[in-house]
Amino acid sequence: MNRLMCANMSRLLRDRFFWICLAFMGLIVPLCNGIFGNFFYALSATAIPAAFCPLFLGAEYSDGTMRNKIAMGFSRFSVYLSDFTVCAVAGVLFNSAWLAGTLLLHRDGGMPIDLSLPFLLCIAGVCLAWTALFALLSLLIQSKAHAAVACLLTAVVTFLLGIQLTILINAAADKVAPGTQYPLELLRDLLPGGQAYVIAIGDFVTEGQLVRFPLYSLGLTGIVTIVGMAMFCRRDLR
Amino acid sequence: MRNLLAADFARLWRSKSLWISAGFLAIFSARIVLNLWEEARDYDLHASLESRFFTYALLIGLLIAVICPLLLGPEHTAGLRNKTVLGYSRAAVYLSALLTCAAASIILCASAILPGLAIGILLSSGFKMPVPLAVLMILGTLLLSLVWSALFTLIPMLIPNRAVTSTAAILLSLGLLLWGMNCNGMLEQPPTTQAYTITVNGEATPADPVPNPDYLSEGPVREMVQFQADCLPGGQAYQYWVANTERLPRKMAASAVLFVGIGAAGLLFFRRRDLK
Repeated sequence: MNRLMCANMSRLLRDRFFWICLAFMGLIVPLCNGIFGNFFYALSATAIPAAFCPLFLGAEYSDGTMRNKIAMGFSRFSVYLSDFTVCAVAGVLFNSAWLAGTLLLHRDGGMPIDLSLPFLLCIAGVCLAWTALFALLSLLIQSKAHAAVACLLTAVVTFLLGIQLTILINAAADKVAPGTQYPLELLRDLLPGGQAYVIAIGDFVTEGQLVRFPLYSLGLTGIVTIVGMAMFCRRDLR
Repeated sequence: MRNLLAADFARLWRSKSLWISAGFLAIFSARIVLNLWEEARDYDLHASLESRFFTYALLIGLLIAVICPLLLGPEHTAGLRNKTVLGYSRAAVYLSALLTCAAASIILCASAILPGLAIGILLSSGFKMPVPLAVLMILGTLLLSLVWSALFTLIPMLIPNRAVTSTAAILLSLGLLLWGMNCNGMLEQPPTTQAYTITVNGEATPADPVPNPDYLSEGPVREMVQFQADCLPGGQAYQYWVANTERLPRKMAASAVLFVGIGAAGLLFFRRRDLK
């Protein structure tokens, strides 16, 4: 497993697209926050991993690396886990680059987002949950192009679903459709897209949500990773 | 050229992703228009058909970004080389691909327009805008979809890596949509905002409106932002979504120019491309 991780990490650091994504998150996104607001950060923190993971992990299928790893005797469990971990590291680095860029830009004050530990844990949780979803899709879909489309569409759809659910929740709160508020809130808080939207808007985050979000994200990450590993272990790898 | 088109269209009709997307758009459009009827029945709210009907204009760019690279992707394995070896000119190959993607975009639009129109006219009160204007708006969205198809024909025909073209196309459509929404947001800022004075009791009472610092006053900056909002596909998508009927001839002309321009640029670069 150590050798798999070393190999994945060295491939990550040599990957040109990784550095392009890192530069985008660290330089462009903090600058654009002033124009588009936190919404752009939430969209980028969703779309960049969705673009990166399938291209990075899909290369293992197209180059034959996946077949070689299995042939060399590494278990499918350790291959999946090491691939998921390297994508999680990449996701954390993307968000850290954004954080560093934003801190530098706003060192005189006016931070666009709360920097307290609960908030940072929420962001880390969303990042892990997204990574788990994209790793599952990228490792189960052997065609890089189809994996890329699946990841990006999943990202966009769950993000838009988060926005739509928030609108419906507000309508339910205004007594337009009473009784639907709690289930809609539960669904919105479970989805990484919903959490990302709430965090980006910032004003609506309650203390309860700050505790629930990381727990929901951790739970989702665990479930998706276990399901992904189970499906990957049974998959016929051509 | 006829044989090329026949081959490309045969692949179009067999494309599962196109028909799944068309089905999704039909259901989505029908549902969103059905909401109008439900709101009238349950809450006595009578919004016009145009307040929901054009929502497909926002989604069509993303779906074309998904479909066109998948349609044209298989070209790069053997298709392009074989077509060139058989004697077809590069221009014919590119134009055939462009027309196929344009047809795909029209199919997607039609799958959203027809159910929405049918349910909207039968169940709700129909368009509040005059019918000729509604027809022009629909034609405008068709032209917009042609612009998206031209853009997402250019990318797969010039970049051989299928995964990269799919990723680039989807990210570009999202980026253009965001840019367009931002331009329209800047234009929609009111000239003044409501101010409040806090009395001794801590209550807020309305005061005279104050100038809005985010308001773009008439001048070259506003004209530049208006130009981007009217002429770029992302800006047009937002304007059709909110049924903005202003400057419709300019928007349609811009779409026509963009379609021809992007198509011509793609053709020019494709002719020089080294097909390995």
